[in-house]
Amino acid sequence: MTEGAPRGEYYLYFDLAKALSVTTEASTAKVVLNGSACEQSAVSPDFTDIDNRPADTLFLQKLAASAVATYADVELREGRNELSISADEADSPSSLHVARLFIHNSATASHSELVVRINARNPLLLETVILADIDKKTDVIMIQADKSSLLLTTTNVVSRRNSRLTFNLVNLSPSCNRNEVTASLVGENASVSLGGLYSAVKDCKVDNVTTVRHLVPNCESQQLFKGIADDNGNISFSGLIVVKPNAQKTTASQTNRHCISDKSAKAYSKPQLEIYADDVKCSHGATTGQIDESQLFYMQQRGIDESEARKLLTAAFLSEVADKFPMRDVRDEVLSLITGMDNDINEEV
Amino acid sequence: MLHIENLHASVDGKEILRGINLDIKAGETHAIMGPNGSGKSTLSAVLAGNPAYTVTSGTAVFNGKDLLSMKPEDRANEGLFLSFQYPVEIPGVSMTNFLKAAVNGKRKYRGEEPLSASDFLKLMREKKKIVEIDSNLTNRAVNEGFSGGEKKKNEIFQMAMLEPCIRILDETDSGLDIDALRIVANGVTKLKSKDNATVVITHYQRLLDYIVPDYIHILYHGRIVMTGDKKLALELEERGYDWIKEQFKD
Ligand SMILES: Nc1ncnc2c1ncn2[C@@H]1O[C@H](COP(=O)(O)OP(=O)(O)OP(=O)(O)O)[C@@H](O)[C@H]1O
Ligand SMILES: [Mg+2]
Repeated sequence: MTEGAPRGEYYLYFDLAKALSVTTEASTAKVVLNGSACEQSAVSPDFTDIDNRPADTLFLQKLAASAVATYADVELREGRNELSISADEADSPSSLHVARLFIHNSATASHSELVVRINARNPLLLETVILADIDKKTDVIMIQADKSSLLLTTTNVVSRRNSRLTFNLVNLSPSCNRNEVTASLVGENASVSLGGLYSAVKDCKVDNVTTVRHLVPNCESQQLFKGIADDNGNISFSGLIVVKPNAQKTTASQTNRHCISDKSAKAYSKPQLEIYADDVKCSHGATTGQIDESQLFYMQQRGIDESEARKLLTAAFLSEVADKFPMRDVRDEVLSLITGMDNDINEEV
Repeated sequence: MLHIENLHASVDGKEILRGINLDIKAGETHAIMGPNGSGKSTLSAVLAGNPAYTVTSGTAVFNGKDLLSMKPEDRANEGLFLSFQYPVEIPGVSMTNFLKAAVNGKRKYRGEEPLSASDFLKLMREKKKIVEIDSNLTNRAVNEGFSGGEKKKNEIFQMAMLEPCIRILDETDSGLDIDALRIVANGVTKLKSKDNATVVITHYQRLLDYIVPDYIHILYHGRIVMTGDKKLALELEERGYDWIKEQFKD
């Protein structure tokens, strides 16, 4: 981290002028953290057992000529950390921005929280490596809620011995998104919890692809992905759990629930298990449902107009994911994004 | 206040209401009784605007407005309240958020500003006393895991919050224990005024001891086949419905 920067605040900004120079001279790429430029740092740590599959390779090649890349080494301090990613130059809407983040705990932090806020009016490819280090507890949440055009995220989680990691993705923006999350549990007694909360309206599309790889014994993984599609929206979840032969005593669960609130909307779900060990507990479940008409009518009977009632029911459906966010304030923020209402009056009444 | 004429309604192509006529004036209490499956809940659902039911003919005029052409939320905001026979559970929606949306929905409809958080909480505290509803119910999700009786109590609590002008209570007494029945019925009576009207759907005389009706209607096979005063309930208690069924079979 840059010296003299305000603590705990990271700001990563894609400046078009600088960005263009980056394309011609990639080695001088600059990242602005807290308003001061940092040196580019190593992004691809050398973990032998990570598959470094790029997302949407074809797409990248097509736009490579105008691609802009920025790298950041995000070292998490103890407690709350905030990172904003913005790619919103209005004059160059088609250039693809590529941001690569390497997120890891600082040596002294035992429990770190990171809130990443994405505001990308330009197409953005966000490649993230999260290292959940030995004995560390890390909570990461990525929120994309502003108007974005296209967001592709690839997240590689590497969990070492005794690490606890939660990683949650929030896609509520009317845009097209694809999230690929690969979590590799490489050290014993590690636990990973992945969450996804998404909505697709008006011809938008949100795809989620997860791979959780249990490579060693005694690890635990959980996944909960819930999405809602409306008005020609299209959502999908494809989740693979791999349990390698020596990963005995693995506990892995995966839950995917989709809600379609309009006939024109579509939802797809593809859970897959590949289990090569025998002493494991693995479960998965996928459902697709609709807004409950009797709940809707009940709310309307109390004078709540239909669109408001739908918002409340949508928030209720998605709240199961938000309720698991370790950061309570972020949960409230996300729920009020959905309903457009302030959250619970928390006073006892 | 509410004038219903020759109302016919069907569900899934099956005719359930076969010509209902009913005139309800401000200050009045009407009881609707009748055998299971005769169409009592259907009538209340149709009046509240449940889209599962289709009105095939007839009219209903509510405070001078055409009720049947209004959206369910507009009917509610015009002052029609239905205490459901089977209240719906809405996991994930807190009672507070739900009631805030309802109270402010009505205020918005009337062109009023939304209530401030503190005024809303004050209102809630005040109305909770009327039905003696427990805080650990109002701090939960709407009806989620409530017992049958708790759900009914919650209906009347919501009614107290919304101060409707026509209150349709569909078997609010069923599932209530003896004390809860007294509390809930007294709540309904306390909230009664010369400006509102009450329609109680019930199977038992018991409730009518507390909420004394001006009229009792017997609904049978989609029609009101008999109207009397409160003594009619006693007669039904004694004789059952066989004599009605015999008299009005088609
Ligand atoms: N959604 C529906 N689909 C099919 N039939 C229905 C539906 N709703 C109501 N009915 C039928 O309409 C008839 C009237 O039902 P309704 O619930 O109005 O009776 P009720 O008088 O309220 O009876 P109860 O005293 O048992 O509450 C019944 O025969 C019922 O089965
Ligand atoms: Mg009924």
